[in-house]
Amino acid sequence: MSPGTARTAVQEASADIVGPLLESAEDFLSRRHQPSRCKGPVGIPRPVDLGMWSDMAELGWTGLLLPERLGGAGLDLLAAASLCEFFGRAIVPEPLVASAVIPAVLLTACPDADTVRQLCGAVAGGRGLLTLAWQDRISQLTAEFDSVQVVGGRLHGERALVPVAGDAAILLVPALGPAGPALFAVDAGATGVSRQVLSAGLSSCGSTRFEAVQPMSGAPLLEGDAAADVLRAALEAGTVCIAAQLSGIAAGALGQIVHYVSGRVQFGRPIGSFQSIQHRCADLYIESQLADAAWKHAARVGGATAISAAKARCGDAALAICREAIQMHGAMGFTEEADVGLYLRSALHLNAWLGMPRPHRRRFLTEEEPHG
Amino acid sequence: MAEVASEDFSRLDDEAFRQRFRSWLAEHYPAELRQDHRRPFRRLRGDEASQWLRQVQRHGWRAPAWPRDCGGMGLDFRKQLIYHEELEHAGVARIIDLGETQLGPTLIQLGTEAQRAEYLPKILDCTQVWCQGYSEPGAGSDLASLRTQAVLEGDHYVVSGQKIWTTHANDSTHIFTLVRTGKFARKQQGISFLLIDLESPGITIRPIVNLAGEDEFCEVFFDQVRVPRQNLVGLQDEGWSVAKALLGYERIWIGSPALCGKALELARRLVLETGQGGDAGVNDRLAELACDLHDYRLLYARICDAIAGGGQPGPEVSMLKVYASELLQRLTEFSVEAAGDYGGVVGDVRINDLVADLHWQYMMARPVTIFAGANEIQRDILARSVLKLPQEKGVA
Repeated sequence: MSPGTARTAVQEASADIVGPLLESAEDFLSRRHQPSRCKGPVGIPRPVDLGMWSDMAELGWTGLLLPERLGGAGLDLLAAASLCEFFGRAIVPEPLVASAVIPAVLLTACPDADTVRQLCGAVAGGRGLLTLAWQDRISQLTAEFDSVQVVGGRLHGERALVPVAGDAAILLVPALGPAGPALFAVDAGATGVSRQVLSAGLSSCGSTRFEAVQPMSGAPLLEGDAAADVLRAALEAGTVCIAAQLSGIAAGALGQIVHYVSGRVQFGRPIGSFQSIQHRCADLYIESQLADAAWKHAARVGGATAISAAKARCGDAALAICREAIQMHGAMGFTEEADVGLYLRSALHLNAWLGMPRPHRRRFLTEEEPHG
Repeated sequence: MAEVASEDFSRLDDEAFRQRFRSWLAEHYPAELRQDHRRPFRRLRGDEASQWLRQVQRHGWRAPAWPRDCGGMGLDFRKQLIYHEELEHAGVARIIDLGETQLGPTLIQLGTEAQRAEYLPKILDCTQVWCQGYSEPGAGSDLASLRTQAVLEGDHYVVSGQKIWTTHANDSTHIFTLVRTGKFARKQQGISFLLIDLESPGITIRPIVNLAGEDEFCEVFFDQVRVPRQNLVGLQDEGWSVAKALLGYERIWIGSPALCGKALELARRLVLETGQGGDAGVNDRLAELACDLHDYRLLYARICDAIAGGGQPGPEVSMLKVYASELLQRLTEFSVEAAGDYGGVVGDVRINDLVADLHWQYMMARPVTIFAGANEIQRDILARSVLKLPQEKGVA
């Protein structure tokens, strides 16, 4: 990995927080992380390294967005997204967005209760993985509650495309109860929970069925309009962070390209001295800069238009740069041995998750205020 | 020195400044000269331009980037951006006022006191209108191989040769040129920056009609033209660095998203007026363009913020020129395609309430990827100076 440029990439962010955070990330990951961790049989879901996850928790990463009263660091979305960007750059497979960012936003909004405090402790302490099971179909941008119903205090229904489906210990489940929308926590090992797991990107996803499942503590964490609002906020925060991670993948893959074409000699000269390579690199650079500007703006101002623009831009940029990375690495790029394929595989997954570019751009066009 | 504006607008806070300029423009800019869907990138030239600029001058709004003691407004970069945003907001036609944007700042930075006293006031009150004589038939992207020659004879340079693509030479009184005064191993050396009165004997100007039907650029021929020695700016043979001093800023203003904003407005309107508002394919392409402009504005603002914060434009500003110019082309291409059969009409078409000249906007977007350093050259710069890719031996 070559994370050396991470600090300059976020130099404009709140430097007093983000600088030290990324320094610690650089230090920790240079000792503990190699892209080879993400390799193995292709198509077999790789379990999350829970030891690594708990070490990350010790650095404060998993509790980054939780307020201090709940055992977190109380940092803002720009800081969290900056760390996600770094995860993308270095192709780190741990599910920071699915199991830290999104649960933190949800739990922070819940009224104080034993279960909530226990779950926050699990997130901040890196003890078991949480994940949000909200999705019903592909390319969904907003949550619907009614595909899981609460009958007699028990959950019935199914969710699709649940991140880290094979590893999660706790599922956060939006469901429609007698009093309207509600958010429940479910022990993944509880009676009536069944899962089907797919390998996805550098981790996994899958569907989860709930058949008369007893939620934790027998009561919702949050109910009513507040549940719908916080779910939207959590998905927005997650989308910003995934955009940042995709932007990091784009920057990381571009770094791989520049490094490779500068050293690879054919016809007696580095292939990076050929104009056909140089001009494509220049275009990829512009794409990566647009992606960087887009997610940082979204992290600062929020809102559907900025977030949708960022997700679409960063997904497209990451995929375009990763595909070119394979081409420019020649036959070597097509091997599982080279790292560029990992960037592409991760980009494919994250681009697809939380909305593909097209639905996001459609939302952008619908909601954008014409400029000027 | 030039008449100093009565009020120092640079002392206003940014928002107050914006409001003052906005209301002044609303009151004074003639409605019939605004940009519209017929002429979304309208330019003013000749008398229309000079009359407007004199009015701007009288009210103290001229030359935002020049220091106040040179007759300008002395605005910081942030306020200059606001100034340009408000021009865009009000639909004020662009003016290629190279005296203000290029020559003035060059003289302020590198000219002699006598040159500043002689030229700056006349630039401001439009008694002199300047054009730029750089390109030649054999020196386009490879500008340093220019051959127009200036030979020092006593107190005069004698200039012979030819310039081409000289924008608005036919509306100008003067031309600032790059001419060859010496031959050295490095071809960038031996070039000098020379100011020439277009009334001088031996000059012939021939306009060239472009694909949009306008005679914006010209050929300028020099036959033994005598130019006073004191018209040299900077040192003899060192004119290349004089010309380069402002390139970074030029790329920033050329990279402005303003024109793309006008082109997108037209594109949106066209989709509605042609009844394609419900067509998913058309909308998806429009959405992509709208997102491209949205994200580009962010990137542009970021680069500008860095300069407003005290930075200097670096080689990365080449990406602004590349992206903005190509986005402008894609937008105009979209509009022509969305207009269907009307896309082939040369001149005005009426589509419901929309009157547009699709051919004009399409053709006017062609040269933006060519002038001010072709985009191929800008990509070379990005590869070499930003990405630090290895260079082929023998390439400058």
